[in-house]
Amino acid sequence: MPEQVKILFVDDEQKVLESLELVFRDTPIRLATSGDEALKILRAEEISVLVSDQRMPKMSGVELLREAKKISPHTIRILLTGYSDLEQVIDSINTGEVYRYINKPWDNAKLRETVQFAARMYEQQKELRDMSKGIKSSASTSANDTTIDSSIELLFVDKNYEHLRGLKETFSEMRPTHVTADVDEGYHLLETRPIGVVVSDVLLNGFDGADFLAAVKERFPDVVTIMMTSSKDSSVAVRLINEGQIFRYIVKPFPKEAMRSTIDEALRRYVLQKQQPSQNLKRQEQQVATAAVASTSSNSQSLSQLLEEVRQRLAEKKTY
Amino acid sequence: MLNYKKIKKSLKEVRDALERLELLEPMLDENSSDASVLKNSRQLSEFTVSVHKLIGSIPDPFLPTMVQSAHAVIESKPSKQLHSAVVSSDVSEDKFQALLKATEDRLRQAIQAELAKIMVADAFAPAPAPNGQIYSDAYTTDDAVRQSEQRLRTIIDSTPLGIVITNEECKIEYVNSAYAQLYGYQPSELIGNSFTMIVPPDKREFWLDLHAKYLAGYKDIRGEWEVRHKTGKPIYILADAARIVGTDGKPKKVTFVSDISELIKLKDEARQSEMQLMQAEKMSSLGQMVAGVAHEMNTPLGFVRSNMDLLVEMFAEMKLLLERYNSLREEILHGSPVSVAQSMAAIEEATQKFTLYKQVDKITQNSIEGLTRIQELVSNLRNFSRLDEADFKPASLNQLLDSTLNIAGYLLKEITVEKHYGDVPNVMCYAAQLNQVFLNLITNAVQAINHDHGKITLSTAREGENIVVKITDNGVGIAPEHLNKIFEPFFTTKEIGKGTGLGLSIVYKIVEKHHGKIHVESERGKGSTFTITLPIGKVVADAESTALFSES
Ligand SMILES: Nc1ncnc2c1ncn2[C@@H]1O[C@H](COP(=O)(O)OP(=O)(O)OP(=O)(O)O)[C@@H](O)[C@H]1O
Ligand SMILES: [Mg+2]
Repeated sequence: MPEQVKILFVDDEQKVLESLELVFRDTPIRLATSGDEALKILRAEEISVLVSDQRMPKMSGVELLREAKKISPHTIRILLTGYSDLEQVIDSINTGEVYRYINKPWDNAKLRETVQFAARMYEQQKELRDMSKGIKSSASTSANDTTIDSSIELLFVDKNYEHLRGLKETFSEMRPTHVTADVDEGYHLLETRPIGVVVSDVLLNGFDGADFLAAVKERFPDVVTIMMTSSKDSSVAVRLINEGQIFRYIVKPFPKEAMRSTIDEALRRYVLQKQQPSQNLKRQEQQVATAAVASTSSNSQSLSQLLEEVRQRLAEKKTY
Repeated sequence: MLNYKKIKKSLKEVRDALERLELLEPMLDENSSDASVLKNSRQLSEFTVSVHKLIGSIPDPFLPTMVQSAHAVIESKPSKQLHSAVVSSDVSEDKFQALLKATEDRLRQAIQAELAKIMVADAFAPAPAPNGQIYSDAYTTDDAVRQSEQRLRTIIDSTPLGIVITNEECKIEYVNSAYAQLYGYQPSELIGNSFTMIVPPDKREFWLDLHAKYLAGYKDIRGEWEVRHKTGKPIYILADAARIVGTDGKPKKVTFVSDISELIKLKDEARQSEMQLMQAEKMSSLGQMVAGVAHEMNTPLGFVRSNMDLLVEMFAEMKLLLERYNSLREEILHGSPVSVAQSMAAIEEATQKFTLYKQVDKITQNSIEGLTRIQELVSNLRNFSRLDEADFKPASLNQLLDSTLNIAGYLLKEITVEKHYGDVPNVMCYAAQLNQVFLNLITNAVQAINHDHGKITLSTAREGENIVVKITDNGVGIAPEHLNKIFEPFFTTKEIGKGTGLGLSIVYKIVEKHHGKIHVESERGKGSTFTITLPIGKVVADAESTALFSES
């Protein structure tokens, strides 16, 4: 068996590291007490999972995550933090692309499961990468500069008709754009149309937008999801990370140009994930999960059935 | 009918009232550094000019009564509020604008109401008195009267002011189109019906009573009222009324109404935005502190909780080992050599897993330290908030500074704090509020430091009957052109999300409340010093404020 890739924990509190060291006593790990130290390790060694505190002197956790992404893009990033205000959570989504957001105090067993799960995802990604390397070597660079296939469609779900109209106006000249205030209709569109990016508000008519996006991601893991909302609730944002693997969290009102480029980025991500499934955390997660327990998800189901199933799965989950 | 002497007198009264408004301006020191005061005063003078214009546009014959109501408006609540807003200048821009508009609208409405009142009274008056005509004394024939009446009716129907005439039976006899429109009815739907159809159902008795009293000659109904639109939705009106004698010789009530729903909404919004402002105030300093303390607290909670989980795990390991020892004993006493060997192997396995016990000292020691830290944080919080203490009482500023430093500990990890505390007497103060002052200043100092040899110096000293507190940092300093702006609410140079710009405005308010002073010296690149001077104040003897025995 090849040597396991190490997990890196970062916290400015030595005693937290001492506890984590014992929690992960059967796993190869590395410890760092600052962002700088962590970056040094990331440059020198292969790290599968990076678990960092948020509030640290000099370099915050989100800043560390952002740098880590540049140095070691495939390392899976997790925040383990003592306090989460909305701003930080949004930052961690939009710039750190964090896989999980875990609050202190934590539960040892759950943390262990989560981190080990992430490590398995990393290993699997790596295998997939190695395989595709042999087949075509240019694929990884092409996604960034080619124009995006104009047949990929957009879907916006919002209860505000005014906003929907504005979005339709802004995007329909570039590609087919669907807008709806009806969640079921949105779901139907996802089933029938080649939709690449879904943007939803938190408050939908009679529906929780976070639930909706989590369900969408579960059923259509390739679809890139964005939350766009004026409601400010950090716990919703945390759920969107942990349950929905959200791509971006946008706070209304948002500049039009920035909106355009965010959608553009999301479309690129969609294309990239299609070409290289190893880039898709949700797919990886599902594969690792189904490898562990043979769970079969039926193919044709209604949105409410799906929501029910997703909720149940979340309740039984042993990880964060 | 027109008494020009009286007009002149009333006119003078209005001018006086306006002048009083204008008089406020010099009170707002033109050289004041406070830009918002300057701005307010500029707007106020614009306002007075527009009022002058308004009055100038009134046709002469209508002046006296209008002048009176203009006067009343100037004495009314919105303009009083405006006055105090201008003087204190601690009101938000939005609120100020709203008040300005409210006062102006009020004035315009009052003037319109008077205008209409005169016209209506005239139109419905029996025969004009021979020499009492307002418009011209050339006409005396019936034709002329009819013509004049016709003209007046045209005016009445085109005025935006709603006009309604009700009789002794509370029936509506006449409405103009503005009135009908305001309530969403056709005039024909209203005429002949009781006016109670437009008042809130639960207010009908009240209105019938008021109406009767008004016609009987007493009770004023001028004011703002809530009424009902045809759709049932509440609308707000400003009403005024006049008593006339109808052509049938019976007394009637003419009511003039204008829709002020917008105005009420505006006022509500102004009130709301003020509340939001106060909310934001609380959030900026408190929110930052809560975030800091929560993180400080959750860190030890994190490892203590984790350590407890570890101890549970360890006990499970130990229990397993014990059980296996017990079964080994059983096997030795009663079993076969093979089963003894199996038991031995099982013990071997469990022993290998049993590793956590070596860490027990560290786990428990860390946990105890963590719990002590939580305990300290809780007592710091209590010291900082001082919720269990009387508001205004003597307190040691040195102690207050210390408890603020404790609570701000999370900010100061990388910074050297130097204390030069003098032996100073206690100060009469709102301790919790001074803590906020210190917290805001220390937070700013920390945020100004962008290098890793940060230093903050706190000093206290007595100077006569005052205590002087200085908070010095070696941070970026303040640009000279910003020095007179930093105490303004919402002035911030920090990026969105980092600063609301309220910190120093709160500091200013609290220091002012203590009759103290604050000033700042700063040099770019070198740092800043904030100096607060607080009067020591007299200790109020307990007996003066509190009786010894309560009456049972
Ligand atoms: N010690 C200091 N050194 C340098 N600049 C300062 C200092 N204290 C205040 N300032 C300047 O004054 C501005 C206003 O300070 P204030 O405390 O009112 O608001 P803020 O710190 O920006 O936001 P908030 O306190 O609401 O988080 C700051 O943005 C900063 O530019
Ligand atoms: Mg501040």
